[in-house]
Order: sequence, then C-alpha cells, then structure tokens
Amino acid sequence: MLQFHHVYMTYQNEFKALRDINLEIPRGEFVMITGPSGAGKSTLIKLICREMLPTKGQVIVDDHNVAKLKPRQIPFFRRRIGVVFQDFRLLYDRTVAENVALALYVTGYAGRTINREVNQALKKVGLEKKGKLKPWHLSGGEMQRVVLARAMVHDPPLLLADEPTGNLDFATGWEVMRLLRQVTETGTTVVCTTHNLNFIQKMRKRTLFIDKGIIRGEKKAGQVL
Amino acid sequence: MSLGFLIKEAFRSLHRSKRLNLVSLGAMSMSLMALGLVFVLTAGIFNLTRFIEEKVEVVAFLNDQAGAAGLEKFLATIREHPQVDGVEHISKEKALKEFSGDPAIREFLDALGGNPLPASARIRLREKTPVNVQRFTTWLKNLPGVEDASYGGGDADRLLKALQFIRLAVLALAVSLVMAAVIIIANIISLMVYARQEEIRIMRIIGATNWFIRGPLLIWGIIQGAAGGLAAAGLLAALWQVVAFYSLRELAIDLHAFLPSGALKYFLVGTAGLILTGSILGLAGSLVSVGRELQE
Ligand SMILES: Nc1ncnc2c1ncn2[C@@H]1O[C@H](COP(=O)(O)OP(=O)(O)OP(=O)(O)O)[C@@H](O)[C@H]1O
Ligand SMILES: [Mg+2]
Repeated sequence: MLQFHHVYMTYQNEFKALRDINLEIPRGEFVMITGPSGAGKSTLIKLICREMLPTKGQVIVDDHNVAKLKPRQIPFFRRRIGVVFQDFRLLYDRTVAENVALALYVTGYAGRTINREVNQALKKVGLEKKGKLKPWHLSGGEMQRVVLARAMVHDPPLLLADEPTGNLDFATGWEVMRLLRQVTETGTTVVCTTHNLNFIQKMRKRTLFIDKGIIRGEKKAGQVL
Repeated sequence: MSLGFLIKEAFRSLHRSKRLNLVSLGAMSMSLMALGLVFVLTAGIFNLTRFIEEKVEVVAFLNDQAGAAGLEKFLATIREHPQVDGVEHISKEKALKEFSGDPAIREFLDALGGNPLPASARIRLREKTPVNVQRFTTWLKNLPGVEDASYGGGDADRLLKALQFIRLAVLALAVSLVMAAVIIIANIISLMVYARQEEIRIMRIIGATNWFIRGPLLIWGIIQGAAGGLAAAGLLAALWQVVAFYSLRELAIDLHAFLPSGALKYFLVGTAGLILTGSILGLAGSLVSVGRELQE
C-alpha cells in the first residue's frame, strides 16, 4: 500500500526534516509513528498525501509514485486518503456537519445519502448532537473528532491520522484509537502518529520511532515495549 | 457533483463577502444601465435613419412637349426599373391645384396667367441608401422627356452620414462598457479567491477538482450579472419615467408616442435582455478570473 524508498525531505530553509526514510506498509496494516516533537512525523504524513513532494527518493502510494501524478489525477488520488490533520484544517464558517459533508461532496456523492453518512460519521466520534454548531463553539477535542469524522466519512482505503488524540483525555483518546483499529478490520490501512506511549503500549501495533528525521527503531505488532 | 451544491456554495459566497457583492453589483448595474442607454440610443438612431430614408423620394420634372403617349411610355419605363417601388404622376393641373392652396402663391400665379408649373413624377425607391438614390437620379436625368431630376438633396444626405458616424461612436462606447463590466467582475472574483486561499487549499487537500472550486465562482458571476441587469432595468425604467414626465411638461412632447406597442412590452423585453446580457458578462468575467487564479 505504502512504500518509502530513500526519502529525504529538506525544507526551503535548508532544514533536513527527514533523512533516508525506508518504509513498507502492506494493505490493511495499522502502523503507529512516534517520536519527540519536531522529529518529522507530520512531515512524513504530508509526504504521503502529497501535500509536499520529497526532495529526494520515492514515495509510492497504491502503486503510484506521488511525484509522477499528473495535476488532473491529484484530486482523485487524494479522495482515496483520509487525513486527520494535526492543525485540523476545518472551515470555520461552516457547521460541523457541513465540514464533514464537504469530503463527500468533493467525492461526487449524490445529495440524498449525504445526510445519513454524515450523521453516521458524527455518531462514531460521539458528536451526533453537535452537527449544527460552528467549529468555534467546540472544544479542542471535539474539533479533533470532527476532523476524524471528515477523514473517515467517505471510507478511504488509506487513513492518515496525525496526532488524533492530541487534545483528548485518555478515555476519549482510547475511543478514537479503537475506532481507528476498527477500520483496519475492513481492509483500511491506517498510519497514526502519537506522543502517547500508553496508547502504543495498549494497541500492540507495529510502531516506528523517529527522531531528528531518522527512523531509530521499530517495534513489531504484538511486541510490548 | 450536484448543481444544487454548486448553487448553494455560490450563495454562500454571496452571503459572505457582502461588501464585495455590493461593489460588484453597483458597478455591474451602472455598466449595464449605460449599456441599456446605448441600446436605446442605437435604436433611436436606427429609427430616425429609417424615418429620414422613408421620406426620400426622387422627383423628375417633365418637359411640356412629350404629350400623352410620351408620358405613358416614360412612366412605363420607370415602373420597369428594378429599384422602383412606386410612381405618382403629378400633372400640370394637379401641381397648380396643390400650389393654389396658398393664397399668396395663387395671386402670383394668377398674375402670370396660364400654368407655368411643370408636370412631374414622384418616385419611391426600394433601397434608399444615398448611393442608390444618387445613381438612380443620374439615370433618370438622362431619360428623354425629363427636364430635370432631384432628390431630397444634400441635407438628407449629410444627416444620414452623421447618423452613421454617431452609430459607430455609440458602438465603440458599448464595447468599452462591456469590457469594463467584464474586468470589474474578473477582479472582484480574484479578490474573493485571494481572501479564500486557505479554504481553497483545504478543499484541494481533501480531493476537490479544479472545477469543483471554480463552479461556485462562475455561478456567483452569473448571479451578479443577472442581478446587475435587473437593477439596471429598474433604474432605466425610473429614468424613463422622469424624462417622459419632464418632456411632456416642459416640451409638450409625449415620449410614449415613440413606443407604439406599449411601454410595458418594451420594459419586459428590455429587462430580459439586460438580465441575459448581465449573466453573460458575469460569466465571462468569472471565467477570465478563474482561468488566471485557479490553475491546477
Ligand atoms: N514548512 C517548513 N519550513 C521549515 N521547517 C519546517 C517546515 N515544516 C516543518 N518544519 C520543521 O521540520 C521539523 C519536523 O516538523 P514536523 O511537523 O514534521 O514535526 P513533528 O514530528 O510532527 O512534531 P510534533 O510532534 O510537534 O507535531 C520541525 O523542526 C519543523 O520546525
Ligand atoms: Mg506533527
């Protein structure tokens, strides 16, 4: 599903955010990525959804080299990926439900099924009562769950969750983790970054440790720390 | 992607940038109102031209020696000319009668004794363009039995030429107004795009195609144009009422006489025309802008 071959990412200010990353993630796997702040976790996520292109090396998603996608292919490529952005990226002049629905409209869904799908997605993240509110009126954790609902509502085969539990208490965060684990059961591939070692411990999923842009180690699924 | 969604998104933009909307609506309705005036002017000039051309007739003065048989032959020759629409023969007696209406002229004619007036033929042509009329008059002058021939003459000629020139000037004005309207819409949409960079970025990252982002802006342009057209029609109708009122009171000219089939019909057709024109200009403006600002 996902491969990195000798991927380097250097930002415009010459900062080397990722160095020689090699990765292989098969379809349906749940992979966690952890590491200190500034390690390059979000950079890695952004390279997968082609928000940026690597400076060197190849990122292969679904057998496509993301650097080789034609401009007209990019929207269709992105529809097959759901992203929980660390910085949310919600549209603040639209209601919660409209934000979630946008992911469906963009994909070309017919109008009638949209409401039902949106309500289902909001219910999964425990926000079924908040659909009519604007994001401003939500707590940080609630906003984060709206982003999760938007990322999942169109059932993408690849789900990227960048710190999806960052603003959540342990119990709610664990709910989100269980939700992510659930979607892998239907064949969805999940890449999830987190700072929280408790979740890594409890999930027992394959985990990559990054620091200063380099993969320092890997814990196999089932292993404990 | 459903049309309903696009229209909803377009109305969202309408709702959101109220001041920009007002600016574009104002500019659009002014341009369209001026365009409407240009149209009224053009129509007026066209009608005036037709009116003057309609009056043009060629008169052939006949010499007295021709006799009845010669006259018949002459009239037949003229009727056979492909350009001729109709001929009216004015005999010496009829000419005398026409002139006798005025007592002063009558006295003068009586003093002369006999009938000094020549017989004539008044000829209406099918095509009354200056060139055509001139050519026909020359042909007429060389016919046997014709003393002289003339048409309305230099005055009508000059007026028609002036009108043609004005028509061109008005057309140039219309073209610049159309361009102004398109440029205004295009720039306002560019402003809206700049103001919404972040939103557009988010839409793109969740998989929106270019047309998905462009669509609402195009519809916005059409709505702006149509609304501008409607406003312009209202303003023009109000202007018409005011002008008609004063021209009746101050100049005793009833402008409604120029609208033979009723003011309402003109208003409805004009409104539809302005709305259509506005929509097309709005669409053109938004196409210019999205082509420039929202490339893949
Ligand atoms: N656009 C940019 N220009 C320059 N440097 C950048 C840019 N984006 C990120 N960086 C730098 O790259 C490094 C990695 O950033 P990244 O966001 O990937 O870290 P992270 O692992 O997600 O951290 P956190 O856990 O705090 O979210 C950081 O030091 C950051 O300052
Ligand atoms: Mg990050």
